[in-house]
Amino acid sequence: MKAHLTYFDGRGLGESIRLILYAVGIEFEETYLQDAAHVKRLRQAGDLLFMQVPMLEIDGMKLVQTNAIIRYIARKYDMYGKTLEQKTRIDVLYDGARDFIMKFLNIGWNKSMEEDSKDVKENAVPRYLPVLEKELCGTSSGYLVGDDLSMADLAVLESLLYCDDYFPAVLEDYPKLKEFKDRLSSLPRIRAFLNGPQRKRKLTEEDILHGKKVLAWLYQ
Amino acid sequence: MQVPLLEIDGLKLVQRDAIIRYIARKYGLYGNTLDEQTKVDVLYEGAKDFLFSFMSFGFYGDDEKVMENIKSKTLPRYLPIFERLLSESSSGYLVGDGLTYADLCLLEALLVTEEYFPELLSDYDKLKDFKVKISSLPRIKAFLEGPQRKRKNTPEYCGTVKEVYYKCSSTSFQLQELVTKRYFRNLSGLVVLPCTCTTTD
Repeated sequence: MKAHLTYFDGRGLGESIRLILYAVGIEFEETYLQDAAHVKRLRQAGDLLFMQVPMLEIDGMKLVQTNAIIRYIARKYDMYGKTLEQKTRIDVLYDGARDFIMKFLNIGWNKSMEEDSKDVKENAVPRYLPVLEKELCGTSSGYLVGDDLSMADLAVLESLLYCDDYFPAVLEDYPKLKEFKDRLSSLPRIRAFLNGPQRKRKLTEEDILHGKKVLAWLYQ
Repeated sequence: MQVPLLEIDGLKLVQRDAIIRYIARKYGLYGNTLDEQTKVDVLYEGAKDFLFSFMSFGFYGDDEKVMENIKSKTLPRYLPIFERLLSESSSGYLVGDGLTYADLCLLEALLVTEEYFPELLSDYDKLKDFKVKISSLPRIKAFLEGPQRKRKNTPEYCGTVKEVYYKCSSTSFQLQELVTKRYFRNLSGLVVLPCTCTTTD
């Protein structure tokens, strides 16, 4: 059964949803926000509970809030651990990885791409990578929690892919993370996403300039 | 180094939401079906965005701008939405028939709204009733009137937080809110443990 994602034609918060949809094997179509009038129509139709995107139509629901969408899919497709302890550990690692991803999502929106990148490289990277490397050292299955792929693995993977994009050599110092990233990227469904047409490209300065206008639509 | 840090049941938990979800799962505040859990997650995230719009107050020297933003964007967005959700509920709770952590987060957002903009809640009868109803639950009442309830941000508090963060970690600066977890502590009758923060120079 197909799902339908409404978001911008870009990575942002939507990319995390795209990744997990592929990872569990749910096909989906996309609607990209066109302009302020489009946003207004969606809001008036009552499709956006909190007047925001992403919004995922799935199983008869119109879900909003990125974390809630991802948790719904993870719960349904067994990517949220089995025991209370596993679920808790997944939450901790997932939330931490999301914080890390957000640092990358803000690059270019704060001061400039150059300054924001520098800030992430000097501050976020040395804060998160050693912690994540240590977490992987503590596992035997090759997954962060338990014996199977979980939403925490996908969030960490996404953050490592951003590391690769912005700071190509930085993972050389973190062999477990590098191996984890390579291995998970090669899982058939994840590889199909990363090499496929629904994977969005990295933002450029121009995209950010345009994006600032686009975001203004959401705040009218 | 990260706070909040909650030591509970032999675990040392970090990440505010993970802590809240742990307690909610264990004590039955997370909804009973997959459908309810999904709703709780969605409404919690929305209530959190609402609450977090107040979070930076007192920290960045732009309080007027923050307040203006809350008044012109945050409140006109979230108050009508939650008013409508409550009017669609027969139980008086946001999801299902009982208290969930989505209700607690909304309560927290309404309490802080009342502190800064009391007059702006006057048009929202369901929200006012909800605030009274949840605040009056015995354990929550005990928290709100008790010694562990913290007060509004003061310059001294903001100064301490900034100093700790700049000394303890990199310049990236995250604010976390401890209050919501304390609701849970009282709801489930647990003894509150002190939050620890170690600093390294």
